Amino acid sequence: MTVKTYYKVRRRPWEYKLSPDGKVARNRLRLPFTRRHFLKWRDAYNPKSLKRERRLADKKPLWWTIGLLAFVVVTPFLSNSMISIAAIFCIYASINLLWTLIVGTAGIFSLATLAIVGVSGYAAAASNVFLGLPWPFILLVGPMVGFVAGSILAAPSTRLDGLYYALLTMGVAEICRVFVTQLRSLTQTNGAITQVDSFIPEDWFLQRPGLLLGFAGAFCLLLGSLLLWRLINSERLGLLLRTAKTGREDEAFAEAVGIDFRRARLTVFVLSSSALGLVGGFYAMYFKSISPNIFSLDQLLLLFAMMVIGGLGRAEGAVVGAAIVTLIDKGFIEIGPLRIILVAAIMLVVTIFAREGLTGVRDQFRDFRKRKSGERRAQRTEKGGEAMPEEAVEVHDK
Amino acid sequence: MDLGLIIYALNLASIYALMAIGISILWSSVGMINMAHGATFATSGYAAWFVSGALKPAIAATFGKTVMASVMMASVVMLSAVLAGAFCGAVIYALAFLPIHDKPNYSVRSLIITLALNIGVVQSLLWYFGPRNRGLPKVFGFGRWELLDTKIRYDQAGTIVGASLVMILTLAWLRYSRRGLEVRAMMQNAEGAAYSGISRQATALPVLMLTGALAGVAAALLSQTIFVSPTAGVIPLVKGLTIALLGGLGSVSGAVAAAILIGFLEAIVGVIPFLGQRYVMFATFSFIILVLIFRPRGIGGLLDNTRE
Amino acid sequence: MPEILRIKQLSAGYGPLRVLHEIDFTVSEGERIGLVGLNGHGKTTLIRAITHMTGWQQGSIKLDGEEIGGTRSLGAGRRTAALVKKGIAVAPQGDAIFPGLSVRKHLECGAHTKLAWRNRRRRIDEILQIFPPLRSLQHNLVGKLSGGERRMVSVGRMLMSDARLYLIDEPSLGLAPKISQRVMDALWALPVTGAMIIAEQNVSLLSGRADRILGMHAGRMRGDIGHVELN
Repeated sequence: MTVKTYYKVRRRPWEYKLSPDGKVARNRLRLPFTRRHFLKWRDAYNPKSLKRERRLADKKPLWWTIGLLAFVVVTPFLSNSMISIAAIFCIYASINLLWTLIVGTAGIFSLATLAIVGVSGYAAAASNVFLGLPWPFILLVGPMVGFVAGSILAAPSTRLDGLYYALLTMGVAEICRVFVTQLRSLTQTNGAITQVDSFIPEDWFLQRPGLLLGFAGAFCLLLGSLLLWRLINSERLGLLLRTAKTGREDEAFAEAVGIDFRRARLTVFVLSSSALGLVGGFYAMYFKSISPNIFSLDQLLLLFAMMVIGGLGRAEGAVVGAAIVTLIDKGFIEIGPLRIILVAAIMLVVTIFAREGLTGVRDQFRDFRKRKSGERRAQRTEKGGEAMPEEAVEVHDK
Repeated sequence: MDLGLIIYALNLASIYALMAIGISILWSSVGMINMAHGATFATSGYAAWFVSGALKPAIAATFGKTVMASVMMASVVMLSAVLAGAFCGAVIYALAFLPIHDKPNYSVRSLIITLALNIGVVQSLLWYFGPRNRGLPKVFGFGRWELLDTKIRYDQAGTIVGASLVMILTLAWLRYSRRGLEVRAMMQNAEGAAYSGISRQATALPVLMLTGALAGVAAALLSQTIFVSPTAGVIPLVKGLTIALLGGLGSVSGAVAAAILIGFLEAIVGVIPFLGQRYVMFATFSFIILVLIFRPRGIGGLLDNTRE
Repeated sequence: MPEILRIKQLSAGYGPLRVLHEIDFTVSEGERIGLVGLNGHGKTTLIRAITHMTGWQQGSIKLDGEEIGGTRSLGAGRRTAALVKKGIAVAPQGDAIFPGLSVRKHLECGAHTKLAWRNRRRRIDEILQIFPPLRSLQHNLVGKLSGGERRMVSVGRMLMSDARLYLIDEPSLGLAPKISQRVMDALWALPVTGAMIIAEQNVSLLSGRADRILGMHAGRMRGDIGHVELN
């Protein structure tokens, strides 16, 4: 007699389970004025125990909340330099999030992100220093300039292929840099605008209260960018764009079912550019100055490294990558050029081994495990293995 | 326009063409945008500087101050630059091609890896050798010819002739040798190449080494005019990339045409009094943007349409 | 007759989708086999699986008694060139041509063995004899040729090196009946040393000439269906 061995068919990601009373009606909290819920609970009957279960299907909001809360609670207790690093991280993370919207969601390979930040920062700073507008107007001028710059830059994006558009935007950034450094009125400061008014009072600048205030502002900026990410990527615009995501065929398909993906792309681009304009204004206020350095290729590459390490096209990737790179770049200033080498090495290793950056490692591992177990099962089955497609085991009613 | 300006323009054009052809060939055959081309350039420059510095006493001892000594020196400089470039190409092959060439997102990931290599190598050079500029021994010697009332420096003439020679050799290799035929077949249809017994892994290595060697030649030649420094590769890389794109990626003749166009543009912008050297990049990029608005895929399509 | 190809229990597909189910058949030296089936029933996938262009994990394929191995450890398409060098010559569907090469250069690409490369001029002339329409076009770019001429170039490229197994995928696809008849005639007239498999929808082009006609249906091998009209 042969002994039958049983194999585990599949593994499921572990889920939070609650077992509510089956007789009580479900009462779900909604976001005010919308039909949305805070957390994605899924109700299901357990086929074995025949009991009602409530599972948390999407755990990301929890992680986001815990992470951001911990960040905001811990930071005020850190040293002065760490607080300023935290604030800079917030600014970089917001720029990265908006860039991810442009590159990932809209699929426009633009390298002019920092150029838009710089242009609107310059315009906002100039309006304050040379025209004498009070500082709250900086937060108004920035997005307006960003909107205009975004609209101009968006125009050729439908006509040019990815790499060519990247080249064009790189050219725009270079032109901006040369233009600013050549401006007659800024020659004494090497093209920088200094003495910009700020929401941080003059005598608090670089003091602890000023740093804390700056951090608070930067954190609000990060929250705002996350909100915008969520509003664009997870709502209608993002859904429209996901149909036309990967290639020519998808675009043709989207067009055939009546989705105007070009318009959606332009909308996302212009919206993100306006937000980048706001970040530019904030940047000028936070440092009380803005210099042509912001248009430089090195700065752009640093931001790109952040996105790549975290994972291109993911919000959590943009934030995690910004955290890692900012910590290395600003936290270990004493080791000099070694820190850039370190960033490059991390970038290299992550890209060789991970398909989609650090935040994609988990999915990649799951896919790998799934494939392996599928292969093993196919080998075991008698008759050459009419193996079910991997997805079939997840289907309840076969 | 006088002859001196034309020589200067051709000098720029030949260096740019060497870089751009490498990037262009690599893209169309291996499918990789090589951002580490600048690092290859800088590394070859340093290798030439290092080797020629180390061998200088030996050469001086054997040949004294004869013509033979300068010939030996020149060949040492060129050879070390070329070998270092080819070695960099092999490193890029091992890191950016071999591990991921049949994995998802290959083109983006290889771009990122080469970019990381570029940053890492440039910073390592900066860290190890310091930011000081180093001068290479003059391959073509000092001096100038008088021709039609203009002075032509030896190094300019040598650069133009040398670069053209190397390019002609490369194109001839692509055109007439068996390997070159394989590379061209792979440039045009990767699957068809596999069915013809041409393996992608086996062909990518010589291509990467060749393009690396081209960057090495460019480094040795450009270092006759400017110095070797860790960041010396950045501008040739940016110029090479933009010219390769302007020429329509994958078109060798387009790249050469674009290099000549940009060389002349830069030379002319450089001498116009109210613009000057500071506006050279500005003018280049404005020109490229203008071209891209009218021809979204560069000027290569005008010359050949071999890729389907 | 010695066996050239032995396929046992081969299952292959794309991702989770299984296209071929337990294919079993053998091909002996000198045989010319027709592979007949409707669109989407696995002919092309079978040919792609033999050349490793499509991944397969199960079963075995033996060429001249030597296992050529599955694609488990290496990705699909990675060993195709090596297999071609081992003696599988392919004229794939859609021709896989090099549009920027001239007809002669294109044929030269097929000469991957040492012997073929040494004798490439003579071989090209021989192939131009087989396909007379190419003779006047031998210096034209392949990208500028018509569909039928491309097919001739593709088949000619396949014939440049001596192989053990010739695989031809849909030689009549998209061609006018007259031209496809001519391509087929040329294929049957060839002095082939190894074996040949021709995948074809139009059974009338094979009927009466192929040594065996194997039917494929829904990814399974139907065995020798004889020389009858397929419905």
